[in-house]
Amino acid sequence: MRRKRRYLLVRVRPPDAVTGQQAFEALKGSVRTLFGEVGLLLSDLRLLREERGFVVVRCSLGQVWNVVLAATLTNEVEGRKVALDVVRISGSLRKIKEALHIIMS
Amino acid sequence: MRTYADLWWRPTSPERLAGMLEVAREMGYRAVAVEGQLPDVPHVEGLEVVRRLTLRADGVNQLHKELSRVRWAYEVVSVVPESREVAMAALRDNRVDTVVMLGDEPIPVDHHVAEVARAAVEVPLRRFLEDLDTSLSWLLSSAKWFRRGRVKVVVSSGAMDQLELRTPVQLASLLIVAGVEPEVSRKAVSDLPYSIQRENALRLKGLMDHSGVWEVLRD
Repeated sequence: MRRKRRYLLVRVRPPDAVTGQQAFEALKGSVRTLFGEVGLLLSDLRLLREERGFVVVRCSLGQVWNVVLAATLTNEVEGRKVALDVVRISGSLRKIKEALHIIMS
Repeated sequence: MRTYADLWWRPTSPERLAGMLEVAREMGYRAVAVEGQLPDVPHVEGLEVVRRLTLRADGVNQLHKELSRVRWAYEVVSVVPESREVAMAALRDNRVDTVVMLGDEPIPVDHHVAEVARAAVEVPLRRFLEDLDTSLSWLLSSAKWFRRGRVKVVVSSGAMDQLELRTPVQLASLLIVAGVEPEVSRKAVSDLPYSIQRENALRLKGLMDHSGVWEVLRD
């Protein structure tokens, strides 16, 4: 059976404080701290895209709220104070890209 | 469409408040309650800004005295109780809008609280950023009383600057992960906090009486 996924559009504030990859690693670290190694593996977290202060990540449907909470509780990346805002959650990557396009324009 | 409200901001300067208002508007908030002095609040289209007072009382008599003095000077009045006795008195009192049980010494929500609570229990995100273990432990033990709306719950940011602000869905995720129904969790950042600040604002303007009845004005 195909695994259902959710796509999250996450805004990094301030946008130039850290790279998308660093923000993603911090998010992964937060999931690991809160839910352990098993929680991280179950979340199937992947970085799909990074663009001017935004990252698009993918996770499994069943763990989506855990990932949102992990983003909520992330307030420091590489020693810098940052916030990770979950701007949009969607079941399709196309909707996320549309939302990103609207925000960018 | 939901109207989102954040009931607790603690900006330390007018410049920080201006930055926070701009971010909150982008996040989709419709109302915010600000603690502290509010000189020349910058106007942001589509965002209502109200005043909030957070009382820290260490005795029931002191709490009642303070409430009679300040209740109708602020749109939102919250209590951070120093003891369980004060917490129970604050939860019963209809002059109190929210009670922050997750203070420096967290007070657990249990069946005694559920029996008497009229005011909402407020969960500030900032406490989780300060002390994650204690806060999560309190939330996981208290969450069952928030399910099905048995005890009213409000989630606020408690933010002091714009980097402590989060989107409404992120604030709601605190309760959802703790096992509270998504609908109750979403109401904790929308309908309930918005109705608290709106009804009190109407009362302060004289458009609603203290029991919640609208005043009908005739020319």
